[in-house]
Amino acid sequence: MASYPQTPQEQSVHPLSAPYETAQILRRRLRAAVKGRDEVIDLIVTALFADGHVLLEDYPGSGKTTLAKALGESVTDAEGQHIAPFRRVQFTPDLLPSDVSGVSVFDVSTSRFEFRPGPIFAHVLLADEINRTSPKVQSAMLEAMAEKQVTVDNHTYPLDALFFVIATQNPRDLAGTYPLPVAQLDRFLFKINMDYISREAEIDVLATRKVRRSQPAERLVTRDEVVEARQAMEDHVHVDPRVHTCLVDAARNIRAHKKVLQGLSTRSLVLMIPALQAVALLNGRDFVSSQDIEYLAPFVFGHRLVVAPGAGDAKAVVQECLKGPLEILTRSTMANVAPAHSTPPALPQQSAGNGQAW
Amino acid sequence: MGKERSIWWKVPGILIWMAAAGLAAVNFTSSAGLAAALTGVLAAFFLADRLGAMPVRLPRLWLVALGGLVATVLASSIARGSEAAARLFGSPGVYAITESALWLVLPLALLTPLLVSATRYSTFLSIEAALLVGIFAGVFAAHREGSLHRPYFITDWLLERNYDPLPFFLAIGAALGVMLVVWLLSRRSAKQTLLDPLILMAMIVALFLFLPDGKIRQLNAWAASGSGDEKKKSEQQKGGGGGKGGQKEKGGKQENSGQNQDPDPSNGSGGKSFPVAVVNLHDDYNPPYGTFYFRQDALSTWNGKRLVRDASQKLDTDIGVPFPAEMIEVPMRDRADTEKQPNGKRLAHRMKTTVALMTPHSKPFALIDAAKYEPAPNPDPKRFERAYKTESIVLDTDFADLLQRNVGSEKWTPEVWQHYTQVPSDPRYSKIAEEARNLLPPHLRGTVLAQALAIKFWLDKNTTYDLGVTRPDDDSDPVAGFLFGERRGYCVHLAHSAAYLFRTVGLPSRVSVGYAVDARQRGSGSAVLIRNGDAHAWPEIYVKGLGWVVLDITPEKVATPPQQDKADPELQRMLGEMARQTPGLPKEENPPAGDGDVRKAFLETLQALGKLAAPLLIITLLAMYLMKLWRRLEPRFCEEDRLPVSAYRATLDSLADLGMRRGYGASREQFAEAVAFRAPEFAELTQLHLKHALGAGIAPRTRAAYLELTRATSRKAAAGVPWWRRLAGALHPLSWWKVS
Repeated sequence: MASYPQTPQEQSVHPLSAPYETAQILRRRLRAAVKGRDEVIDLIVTALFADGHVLLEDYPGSGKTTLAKALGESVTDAEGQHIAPFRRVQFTPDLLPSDVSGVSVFDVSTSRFEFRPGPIFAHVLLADEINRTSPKVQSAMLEAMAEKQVTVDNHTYPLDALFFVIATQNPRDLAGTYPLPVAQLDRFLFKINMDYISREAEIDVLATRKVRRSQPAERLVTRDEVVEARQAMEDHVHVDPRVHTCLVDAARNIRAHKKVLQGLSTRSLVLMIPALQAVALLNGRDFVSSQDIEYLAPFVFGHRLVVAPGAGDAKAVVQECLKGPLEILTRSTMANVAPAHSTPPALPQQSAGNGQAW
Repeated sequence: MGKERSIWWKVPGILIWMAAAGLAAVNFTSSAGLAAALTGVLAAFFLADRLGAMPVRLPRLWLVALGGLVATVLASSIARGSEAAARLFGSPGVYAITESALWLVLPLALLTPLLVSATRYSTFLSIEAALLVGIFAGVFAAHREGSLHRPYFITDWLLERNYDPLPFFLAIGAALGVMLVVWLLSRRSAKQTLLDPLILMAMIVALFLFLPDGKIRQLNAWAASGSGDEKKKSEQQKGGGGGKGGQKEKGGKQENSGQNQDPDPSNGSGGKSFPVAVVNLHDDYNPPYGTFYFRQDALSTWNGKRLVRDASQKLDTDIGVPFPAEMIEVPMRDRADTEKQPNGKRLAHRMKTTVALMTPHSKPFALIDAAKYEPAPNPDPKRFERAYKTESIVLDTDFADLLQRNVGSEKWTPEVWQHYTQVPSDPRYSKIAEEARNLLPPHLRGTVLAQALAIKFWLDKNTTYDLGVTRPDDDSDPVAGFLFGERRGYCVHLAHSAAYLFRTVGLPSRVSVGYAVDARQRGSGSAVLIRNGDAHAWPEIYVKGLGWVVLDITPEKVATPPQQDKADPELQRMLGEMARQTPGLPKEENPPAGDGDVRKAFLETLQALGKLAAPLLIITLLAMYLMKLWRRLEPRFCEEDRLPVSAYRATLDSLADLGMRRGYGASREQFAEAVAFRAPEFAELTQLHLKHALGAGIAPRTRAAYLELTRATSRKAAAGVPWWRRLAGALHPLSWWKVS
């Protein structure tokens, strides 16, 4: 992924400096913890900032727990709150919804039911082998992901704003599983297929086994920093109307494609916007470029399509349908009419001539 | 976008290429080679299908293919020269193997890279189409000159079976048209589908107009005469070889060149018939003896061995005429009276003809007896060598009606008599003459010309027409061996024998050389087509008051029948029409426009268009350069607000000059990354531009900063590019086109 990381020098001033720094810290921490997964790490950080969830499709032992744990441990709690940074649930066929969400337990001393929160009350939740559990658990889980709340005994308990799920499933070993239908897959921002890491990375993993056990030198990121970063990103990373046009056109192309049985939902386009903003932020830009769309579209759209049997990879279809709208977007930048900026120039006086992105 | 066609869409392409390869190969190779060529086409399509899916680099592919072709050519030529190979497989085996290898590799090496290239660039599709049309049109191009015998491999086959080739040509054309259309429809891109017919049209028109047809005609003659020596052919007055007719002669130039005076009939018998001239009669005329004789030369001097041309040029004045630059009266001593006779019959009348020559001749010829030659404009220099008009005094009476006349002329001196009656003093001639005279009824034996007729009948009866005899060499007597031997021979022998025998009985006679065309061939039209096979020699007798009169010999026994390929009446009529065109006349005066006129008109239109288009082209070119210049200079003058766009565009233009362009679908960042390893500044410029276009705020830079970025990018990007590439880019008027 091409990027033009231009480290902001006047971090204290620009509204995107702090979020950028936060993202970089997370990135560095995760990269230190998991070798050879830079792209997955970027996508996970992107999803975290875009307030989405991630479905990893990979084999056992590929480092996803390490990754999720490292992410959870990188975020400290704000004062006064006691939410676990990281929880892991191994999904099995006999799991019940209450095993995930928590149960009300009768307290004899107070003669009242008291809610005991389940593992879902965490910043980062690793839902391992999510397709092995029964649909009712899946749907409870997915509801929690979408609504950021849990309802037990008719009482609704809100989840933390940071709540971030990394679910995994094994793409091969499908016996006795409950495959997630497309409607549920739609709730994941990304579905990331992980492959075996490169030879050099693998050697590096073995060599640095001990070192990685100790804490990385980077400082922690607070929960509030992440939540604020989300807000700043939403406010200050510019999304041009032509980007919207491009997305809609691409989606229409995909729906009209003869190999596609079920096209993209509007929700997926809506979810795409913060994801694009997050990628732009990660790349040190304060605007969404066509490159971001090209990069993210397969991850965001790929698992939301149902393609005809034998039609091959959905990602290829996405890329094919994206080409035309993207080219239009790219060419539009040369249009003679200066773009009508929807927001006034952010901070022109600070960035004059110092070579930074904003 | 991305429509998958089934494999069946390739079938028309394969078929049409196989047809093209077959047509191209059939003329040059054996059946093994033909089969190999067809296999090669199939293999090429298969290979191209495979290679098309792989990331093969086109230049490399072409290099490998052409290298393979060269290697095959070298290997096969070595194999052909090698003795070991011949011992191993036998000479025919080596030939078959090498021929197959060559013709297998040829389509493979050319077609495969072409097909693969065509899947990537539509330009190659056009090249493919052009090549295809070129092959087809090239094979049939000779046909448009009215050469019905081209291409040989079709007509030979048909003519042997007595079919008219024309419908077959039409059928081939229609089939090719249908196949081309289907093939074009099977193309993927709609743009290409529109473009292809235009290219095909242009190709056909170009072939039609600009193919050097003169060369083709020469080639025809050359191929047809079966003689490789073109110089020799052009020196010979009659153009082609002995021709199919065989009982003809083309000689008539013994003295002024050392060439063979008589044709070798077996030499030309395998050749093809082709037109050498067309004569338009201005009046309806059917010669009483059933043949149009066109005299070009005459042999009258007895040199001790045979008859040769009169070297003194004082006699035979009727044939010593050059091509007319102005009107020439033929100096003739005696002329047939064209007035009506007392019995109401005419002996002869004057008739005009126009002769248009299609092959080089050293002298003009005319319908006997020529009285006048006049120059005439060449109706179509591309088709005809030259043209002239003649006026002839043509006989209306048969020889039989002239029997009562005497021979010779009162004005003749004894030397002239001597000249025309000189013969070898061999008593055997007198013996034959006596034998012939005995055939006559007693009351006719005293008649002078009846003796001539008797000799003719005797020769008709006692000789055999045979092309198979060896040609008499230049210095020997063509007669003695013939007449006192087996009496088998062709027109040269017959004409000389007759002349000798006529002279033996005291009749002044000579041998005339030219063309003889059966009068029936004319049909109802006015044109008489003369073909190479019509060359002929015949004996003549000087009849008092009439001049030279033909008395031709027609043997009753024929050993080798003259091949009766009839002249195509359509061709005769068409060439007659063409010869009748007057160049330079306004169109409406000659409404039946031959295709020569269409061609000329087309060329003139093109010329006019060219005159019109040239200034337009220059203006357009100028506008392009101005646009290019403006786009490059714009960042210096534009408003601050536009700098990110104009500076970026100027940079893109300068990169395009160097051949660096953003590919379709690639993002600006990808392009910047590709350029950045040479010119890192471009990445920054790209970011500034994108930020301006898609971001929330303008990146404020000074104009100088923008210009510096542009300059640095151009300079660094150009550093690794060869000078000629930079020059070509700078001169390219449209390098900015579609830069985005």
